Amino acid sequence: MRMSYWEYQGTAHTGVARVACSMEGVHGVFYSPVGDSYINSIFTMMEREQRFPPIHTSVLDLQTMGMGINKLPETIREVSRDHNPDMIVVACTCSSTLLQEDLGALAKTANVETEVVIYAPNPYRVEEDEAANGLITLLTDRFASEKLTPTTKPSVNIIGPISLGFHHKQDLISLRRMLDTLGVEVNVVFPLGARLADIKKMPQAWATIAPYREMGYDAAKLLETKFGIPAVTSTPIGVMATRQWVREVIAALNKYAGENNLPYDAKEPALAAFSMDQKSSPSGVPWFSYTADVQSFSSKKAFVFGDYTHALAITKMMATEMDVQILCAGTYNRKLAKEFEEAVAPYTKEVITTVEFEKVRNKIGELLPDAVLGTQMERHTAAEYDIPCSTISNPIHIEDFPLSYQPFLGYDGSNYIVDRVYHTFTLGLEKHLIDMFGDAGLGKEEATQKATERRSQPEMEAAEPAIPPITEKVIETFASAQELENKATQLAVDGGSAYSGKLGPQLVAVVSDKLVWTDEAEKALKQIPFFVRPKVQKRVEDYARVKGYSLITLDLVYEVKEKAG
Amino acid sequence: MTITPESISQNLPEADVIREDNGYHAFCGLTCVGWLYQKMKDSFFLILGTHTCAHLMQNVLGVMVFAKPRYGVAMIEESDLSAPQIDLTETIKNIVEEHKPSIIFLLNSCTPEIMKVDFEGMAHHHNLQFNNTPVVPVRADGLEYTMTQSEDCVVENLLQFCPVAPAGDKRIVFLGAVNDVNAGELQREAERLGLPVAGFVPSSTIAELPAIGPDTIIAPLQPYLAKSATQYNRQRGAKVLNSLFPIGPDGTRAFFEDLGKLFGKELDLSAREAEIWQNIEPKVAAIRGKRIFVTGDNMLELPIARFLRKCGAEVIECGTPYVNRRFHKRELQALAGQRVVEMPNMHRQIRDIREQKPDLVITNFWQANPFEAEGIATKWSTEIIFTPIYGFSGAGDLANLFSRALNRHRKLNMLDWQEFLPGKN
Repeated sequence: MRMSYWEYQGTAHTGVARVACSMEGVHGVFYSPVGDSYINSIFTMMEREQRFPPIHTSVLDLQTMGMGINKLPETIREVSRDHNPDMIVVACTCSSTLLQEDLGALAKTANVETEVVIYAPNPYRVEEDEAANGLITLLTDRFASEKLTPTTKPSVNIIGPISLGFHHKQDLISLRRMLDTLGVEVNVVFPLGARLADIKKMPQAWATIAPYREMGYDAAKLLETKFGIPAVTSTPIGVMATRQWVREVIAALNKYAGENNLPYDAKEPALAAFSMDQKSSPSGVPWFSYTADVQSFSSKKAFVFGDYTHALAITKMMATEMDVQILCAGTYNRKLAKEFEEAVAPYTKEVITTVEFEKVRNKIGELLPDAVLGTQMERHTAAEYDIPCSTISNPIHIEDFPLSYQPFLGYDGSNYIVDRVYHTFTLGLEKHLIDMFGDAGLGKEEATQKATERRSQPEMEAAEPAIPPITEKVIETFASAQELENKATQLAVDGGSAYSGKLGPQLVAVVSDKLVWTDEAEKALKQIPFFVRPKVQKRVEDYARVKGYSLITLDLVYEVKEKAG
Repeated sequence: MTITPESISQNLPEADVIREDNGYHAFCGLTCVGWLYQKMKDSFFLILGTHTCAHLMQNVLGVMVFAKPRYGVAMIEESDLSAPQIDLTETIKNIVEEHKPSIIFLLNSCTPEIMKVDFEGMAHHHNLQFNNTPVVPVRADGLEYTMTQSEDCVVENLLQFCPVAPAGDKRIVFLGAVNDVNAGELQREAERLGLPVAGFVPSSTIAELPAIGPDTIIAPLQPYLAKSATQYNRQRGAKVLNSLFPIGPDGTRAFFEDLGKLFGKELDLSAREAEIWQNIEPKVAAIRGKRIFVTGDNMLELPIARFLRKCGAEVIECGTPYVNRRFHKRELQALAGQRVVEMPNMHRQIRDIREQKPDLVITNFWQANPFEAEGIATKWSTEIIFTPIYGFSGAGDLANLFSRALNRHRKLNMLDWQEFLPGKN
């Protein structure tokens, strides 16, 4: 039992639905209570899907349960009759799985011509991504079963792009563009847009590309083992990783051609061939990194968190192509935690793997990095700490389906990522100038703050205003304000401190954990650039606590500053 | 239940109610937490559920947790499945310490229901354990309960926290969660008519709950509060108003006129109703003559259909999760001749909608975009729940929900999105 306020992933049936909703001519049937059909709205609302999600609920309710009736065979017949899919995938949800029904036997009694696949991973162990990946592997194993004659032209399978995948549809455009440049055809994309017949066609490709470690990797490896089709499983995120990936694709094709006596010997094309107009550079990232302006990145400390693929690849890219210092990198993928830790170790000081967002939030609070690259949840956490943030990974959000071309993979993706990160960081630089020149940024601080608040609002239009997070603290503070004032006055007298002002009600706002900042000290704090301010505040307060002070004077602030050097 | 006023004829013609096989889509009971925790500011909603429940909560209402939310899921993990019993003592202790709520609603879900957890017993146990913080059980599993049904369970359970009003204290208690502005407007309207108001259930805090006694008049604002109304009558002897719900100018007029009768006042609000209709005429004009299909998932469908018909629309079908023939009697009478489908089959509805091509479909989050993709204008049914539609002052917002959707389609007419689909050009 653990208390949960929010989760990075959905459960197994969400993963199954993502595969079904990616494909053509495939229908998902869930033996579940009506309530579990909530996932359907995620597809039509977030991804703005045009078709009705090909998902049916075979309703489990108390009445039918009591009568010992299972509607599954009837539902399968109905789906088969009304939608005539090539394949039906049957799955359970967390509650119905407890009934331990023999879904296979039940499905048989439906007696339909349609191919029926039973896929029932344990929802208490298997989360969304793992379930989707497991189904992709299972379908590959079952239907890509026959060795086929290789395609005449070099071709690849792309396994991994999936419905509700983070920028997956745009990644696919980027991959296709690069493969076009290499003169390589795409044999099958699976599961996005694939039909059952396409899965069967996969053994005719010369290589398989699986850029996402948690989605499609196992199926690509399976094709390699079964048919000797090389799997290219590296992630082309970042210029160097992309160049490496291009070379790996060429090597895989050459290898396959050699082993199968096909006339083919490719070389890496000129870089310009990968650019939008085939004349310019495919990426300005390397030069951009050397420009003087971006030197400041070397002093930036970042925190990265996300799924396995994006957290690892972005950490690597930030460290090796931007010279950003990575304070901590982490993933919510528990199953791949060990592999992640090993892979990311050279690029980060610390690693965190957890499914509990509170732990990630605490870590961010402890480290107070200059920037956070994380999920939607880290975006909220970063807003709390006033740290700039950019999202780089699922869980999916309605904003993750932009209209313009925003891939993460390939040269195009590398350009996009750097633009995105730069804009995140720039805010900090502009703010830095404003803080340095005071009034020059008239009103800017409030405007920025308002924007932050707006971002933090629940997305739904009609939802009530956000709960003021500090209410309790303020109330508590009011109660002890008098006591504090007495203490502070005492301190001021005893310590012969420079403090001489009167503590008024305005004081209350700057009280934090029973520490009082004098007006002067607070003013000094406000003069510090906003992106290091929480850190300085924390350092001063920690120091005060250790020393047993409850009043923070200007002298004390200088004292801490001096001690810190 | 005391049906008042007694004069209501029991024999008027009613809507034609057809019952189907429950093949409908509706959010489970847990989703009522989304707005109730915001309405009741000193509450905490603890869900005894699974990872799926947590995923549901964060997705369907589009609410991202960014501060300390006053709801959470005590997540049943694999090891709990074989544990001799589930103990929430530590969890509740932490909630009490961290959030200091005045009340904790404990909601069950599908998994504990199938595990046959003695849910009521568990809530009772914890209720005794934490004597300063009541722990109240709410049935919310998706096997049986939809979102508004569980809201009924919450409201029903609030009665025990309402002080007892002495005999002779004849005032109105409005039953149903509405936002503060809308509540204020309803109260002002009543007081303007000389009808005394004791308060609202639910209120913003437990301490503000009104006193309820044998002479209290319970005025239900929403059609999904049948259980609550019955209990308030049974346990305290309060009288329950049986009228139209105060949705739309027509419903609001009947609601207040019938309330007046209970106080011995013959009110004539015909001029007031006419004035409101006139105010919202530009919006009503957009609805008039339109063919509208209501798929049904939240129990507000009967008064919505009644309002749309009053606007001059043809309601092709009014689907609704269930009909309570006594509690909804007046609405059913107002819908005489209307096709109402209880527990509708969603797949049949999709086929009918494709065939009949209505001008507007009022439907759930799931189906809205696919219908739009087929060229049919839609309005989210859940948006109706989030909108302050009650009373005379809510009529404009109510009409606007539908007129905006219809006008938008008309205005965007020149923009051919289908031409821009892949493979079309």
